Amino acid sequence: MDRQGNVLNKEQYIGAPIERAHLHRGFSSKKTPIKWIRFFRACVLQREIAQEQKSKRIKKIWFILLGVFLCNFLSIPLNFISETIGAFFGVIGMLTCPGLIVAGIMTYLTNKKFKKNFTDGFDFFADYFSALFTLIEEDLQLDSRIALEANVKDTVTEENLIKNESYTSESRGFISGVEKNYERVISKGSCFFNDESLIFFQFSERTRERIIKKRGSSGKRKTKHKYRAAYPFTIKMKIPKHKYQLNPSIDTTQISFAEDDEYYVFKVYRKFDVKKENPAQYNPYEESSISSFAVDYFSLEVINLINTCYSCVTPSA
Amino acid sequence: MEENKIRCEEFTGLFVVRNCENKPTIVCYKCKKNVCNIHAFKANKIVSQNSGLQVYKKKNAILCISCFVEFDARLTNDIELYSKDRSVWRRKMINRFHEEYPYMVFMADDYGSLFDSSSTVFLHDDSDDGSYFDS
Ligand SMILES: [Zn+2]
Ligand SMILES: [Zn+2]
Repeated sequence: MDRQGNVLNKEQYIGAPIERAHLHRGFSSKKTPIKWIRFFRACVLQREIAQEQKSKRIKKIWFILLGVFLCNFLSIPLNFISETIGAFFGVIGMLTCPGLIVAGIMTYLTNKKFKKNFTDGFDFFADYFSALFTLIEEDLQLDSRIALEANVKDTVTEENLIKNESYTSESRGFISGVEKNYERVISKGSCFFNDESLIFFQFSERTRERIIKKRGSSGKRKTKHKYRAAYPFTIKMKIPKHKYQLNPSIDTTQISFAEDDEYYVFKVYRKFDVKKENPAQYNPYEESSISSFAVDYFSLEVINLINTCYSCVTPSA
Repeated sequence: MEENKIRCEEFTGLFVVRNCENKPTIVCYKCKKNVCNIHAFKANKIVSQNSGLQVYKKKNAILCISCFVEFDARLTNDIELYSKDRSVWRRKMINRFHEEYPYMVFMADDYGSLFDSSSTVFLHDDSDDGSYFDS
């Protein structure tokens, strides 16, 4: 028996009939933690495989074009052997220019098809949520499933726009500016712990985009797009009253508290912000900065939100 | 603890920590704890430069998860989560959590029947999650 178990590898995922392309663009499902982890792994592997196939295809297209181009040169010496063969190669060589256009279009379409089926940024999602679910796996009820809804599309799109206003700056050469705010719920979900507590979580991306028109030092006009993103993670926890007592002092600056007949309800919040937490990694010209948080850091911080809720109660003796 | 009631001597859980309920199948070569299959790991799979480890590797010893994690020098980033090593990863992360955060932990054992696993399995209707995030 292999105690360490087997890992999923690429070969197992070529052509595997699991939930296909739609999962790369968003999904909503309930699964046990291990099934989610497998699912995330499969998504990442499928994307890798598709990316390899895509690059191969593009390489092939340009390789053929190169062949067509070389026919121009071959046709000259071949003319001495036979004029027919020479002319034949000459004609193929003449296809270089239209071929260039066709190859360009085919490359564009291949890339577009890939982008439609496989989104960027799924790797971070897979890593973070695999880590999080692994950490809480043993606290779930046996065979209990985690409900998870995800939207891994781009945040900076019209449908996520929540505010659009003009922006001014004192900086040199400034002509005009617009500031746009976007928000997308990356994922939300819920699960039960085996002490009957309920956990709800929501993870969002908030992006501020500044479009600045300015005059450069040479006097040339240019437009700059600058971004700042933050990632609020909210945990809402309902802890059963028949198992726990409320502690007398709760720090309500950090925790919102409510209660109903059966549960104490806590809500805590943690905003991940690269510019504040890891300024060296902040790049204003990149839309998303989530992948600059280490998986360990992210998952421990989220676990600490649950920890913070539990710190408000004591098990009834 | 009574000696005649033999169960795995490892634990599970992060917030409500319970004793593992599984039947032990193996005795840890190092600490002599009785552990179940889930909590047992092959010493020769340990990645580490530690020379004290050779004796365990040579004997193809089986270790409990605690002893395994103690030797295993891998960084958490290098552990594949879709594998049995997931529990090694979890143990390493829990250890880090203990060190880095003021940690809230409830030992199920301390509260008797309150966290009795046979009575806590409720088949909740887990569909009522709609209105919780409208604020
Ligand atoms: Zn041991
Ligand atoms: Zn065990």
